[in-house]
Amino acid sequence: MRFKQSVESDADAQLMLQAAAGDKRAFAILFDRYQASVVRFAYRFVGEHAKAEELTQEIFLKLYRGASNYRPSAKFRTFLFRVASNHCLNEIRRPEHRRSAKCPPESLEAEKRVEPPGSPGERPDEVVAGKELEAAVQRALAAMSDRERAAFVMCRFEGMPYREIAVALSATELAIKSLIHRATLVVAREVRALDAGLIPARSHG
Amino acid sequence: MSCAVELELTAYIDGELPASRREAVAVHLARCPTCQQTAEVLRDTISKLVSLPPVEVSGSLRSAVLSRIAQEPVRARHKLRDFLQIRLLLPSAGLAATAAMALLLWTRPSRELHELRQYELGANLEIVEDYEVLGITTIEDLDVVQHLHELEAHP
Repeated sequence: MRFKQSVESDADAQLMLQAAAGDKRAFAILFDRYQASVVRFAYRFVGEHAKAEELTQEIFLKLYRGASNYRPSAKFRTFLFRVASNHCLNEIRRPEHRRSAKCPPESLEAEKRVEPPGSPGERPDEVVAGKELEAAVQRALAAMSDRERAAFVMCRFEGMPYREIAVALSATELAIKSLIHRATLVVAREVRALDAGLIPARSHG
Repeated sequence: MSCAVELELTAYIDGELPASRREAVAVHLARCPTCQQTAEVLRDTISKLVSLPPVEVSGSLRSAVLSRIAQEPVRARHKLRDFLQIRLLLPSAGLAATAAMALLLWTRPSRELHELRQYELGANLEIVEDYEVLGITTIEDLDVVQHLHELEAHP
């Protein structure tokens, strides 16, 4: 039985089925496993920490409310990222978001924020380099299409294979291959410009 | 002028090409300096991403989400109640019934009762399996399940 096998091989799917039966502790376990991934995804998507956490709350709430409709025909992670990407895509298409994003997200916030000193053992120049790279990547993400960004983030930051990303974004693997290639080129351009010193380092007062 | 193969370079680096295409791209790369350069830039970019600072999660997120979940009504309540009534009858009652039937069978064996006993044993095996599926592993969990009807009566 294919259905049964897929459920048995995915412990997360079992937890989701328990959550669907009203088990909130099972849902809490899923939350603990995936909160960092969802925050990371949302942050890379909107470029703003506070907004990313707000979106994460909404995504998990949506996931819980829709739990009874969950059918474990795909991996739980794929299902989660389908919910997360739909939610983030809808969010950034809302007029309110468009207005607040006029001055682009926090490629820029990353540069303004007063950072705590780097982790122990990290040299100050490494901290600065990390922040500049962060700003360059966020600029690139802001410059690409929504679907390129979603595919790129799932691939590069969550390590998802193209096939899984295709299911999450309701696209063909061929389309995903193309989205990820274009997105990686956009990031490559920003990173090269940074390396070439074309983008002046800002002070991080 | 860029090569058609260039569009496949990222998938090639990611190990996402089928064997036939992978080979074709490798052959092309061996003799195309432009694509070699592009591949190098792509590889360099991908490898740099690991040195990005981690995205931090605030400590309050967990309690914020879980308290919102706690306020959610248990939507699958009816479904669960039906499920429990049909398949998760109290195990003590089920076992007691089996014992009673075994006793009856001992004194009055009959074909009909034998079938009933088989049915009851099967049902109890299912109960054990269902408990595993639901993750019910403690007495406390069982207690919650057994008193679920009370929660139903006083939502």
